[in-house]
Amino acid sequence: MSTHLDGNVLGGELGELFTVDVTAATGRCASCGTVSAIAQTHVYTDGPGVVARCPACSGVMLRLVRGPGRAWLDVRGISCLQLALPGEP
Amino acid sequence: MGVVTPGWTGRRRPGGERLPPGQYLVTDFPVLSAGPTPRVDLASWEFRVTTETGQARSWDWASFRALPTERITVDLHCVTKWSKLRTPWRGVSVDALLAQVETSAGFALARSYGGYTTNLPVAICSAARPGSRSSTTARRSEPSTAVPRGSWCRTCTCGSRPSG
Amino acid sequence: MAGAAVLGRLTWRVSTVTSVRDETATARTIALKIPGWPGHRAGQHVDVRLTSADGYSAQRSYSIASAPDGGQVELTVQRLPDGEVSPYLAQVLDAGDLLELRGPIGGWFVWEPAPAPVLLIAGGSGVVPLMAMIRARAATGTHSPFRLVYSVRAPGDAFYAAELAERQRGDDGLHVAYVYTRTTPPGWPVPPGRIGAGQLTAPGWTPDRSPAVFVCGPTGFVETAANLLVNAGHDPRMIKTERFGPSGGQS
Repeated sequence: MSTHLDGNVLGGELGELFTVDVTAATGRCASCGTVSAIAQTHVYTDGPGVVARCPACSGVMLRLVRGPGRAWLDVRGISCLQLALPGEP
Repeated sequence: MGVVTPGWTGRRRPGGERLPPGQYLVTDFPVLSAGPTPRVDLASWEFRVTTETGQARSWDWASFRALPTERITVDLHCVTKWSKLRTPWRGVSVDALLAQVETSAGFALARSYGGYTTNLPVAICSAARPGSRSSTTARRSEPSTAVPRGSWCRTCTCGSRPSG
Repeated sequence: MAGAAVLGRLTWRVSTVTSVRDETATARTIALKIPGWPGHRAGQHVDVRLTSADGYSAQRSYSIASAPDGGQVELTVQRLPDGEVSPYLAQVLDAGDLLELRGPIGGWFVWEPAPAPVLLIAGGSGVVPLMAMIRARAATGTHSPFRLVYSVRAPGDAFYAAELAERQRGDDGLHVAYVYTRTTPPGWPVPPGRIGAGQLTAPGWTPDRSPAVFVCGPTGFVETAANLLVNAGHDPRMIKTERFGPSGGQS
């Protein structure tokens, strides 16, 4: 199986879908409950899409596929995502 | 399209007329299960068909492998832009499985180990359409790629387990 | 301040190369002018996209090497022998050329000036974002202790060697330690070898000082170094990592 990167590499793709940085957002893995920063997920980019797995249990937390003019984002593997909204009190 | 980089062509891949516009040709099997390979214990492996009335028919590994298998060669085209041409498959036709249940359903929901699901019209999965075939290979319990090209159909779930 | 405001959706921008300079025989620093650049934070990266005339494109991520400094950004690109993008950036791209990029990216692997000591562990080209942190520390006049442990194959592979030597000379708070994995400089007291527990500890840099730790490099290096740090007693919550690799990262 291919080696993996980490969620830092998703910052650009996710930055086109979200208006705030997602790599520092923390997500609770829907499989095991571990809370990790998205930057800490194990990311596999060799397939047709990108998969981010929980660093604790390897459960899939996020899948992103880009096609012409559209993106498919599957975050069923994240039961809760906490995002920082800069500039707010 | 982005700003063109003069003099850069990237890694060129041969295509030919079988490659639809915008697709990249791959010759090896892209890693569809991006991640550590999940292991499914063959002793507990199961393929189950459940109809709209709740009737279920399932096969364990041994009984599934005992079903008639066929060999086909097809082009795979993924919506995410990769294509693999003339890919040989060996496996059990979906029709052989559907023949063992009674259904008039129009659509099927396929689920795989790993939690992936996809929906397809039954007509696309079955061989009832003239000239169309479909198969799932016993080793490849995960769907891989799908655009019906008149000859074959499977479903693409990126990040699913590797086929083969 | 850059990064504090909601940036809005990231989109591709066109930058102009203002200069290029060689860092090593196989790596080059590219200076870019980017209209409308909102500034960046040390540790962030950009995604670069090359597009051929028939529409085929490839993207790679490159860490920003320069300290936050208005609309100027520098990237240092290591040429990989069968890279698809890096040979073009490290050998062909020249002053005056345009380069499409997206950024700044990243809110996790960033350093904001602060008094806490910082331990930086670099594997090969993983030194780039850490150099941005070292430069930002100097540019902001921050005096927090910084220690860089920089693993390279051979002395000729080290980026920024002269600059790091000069910065150390001028600053008691910055220390750089090299790890040579294949070839050591003449007179080096130890044989070449991979990073080990010994290189990660030093007087004043023990876990009880709670340094912020940043580790960057290929996945294997990062995982080895992170495990060594945790085994040595560093709190995993103080360790931030960024993995580079042949796909998606630099190539």
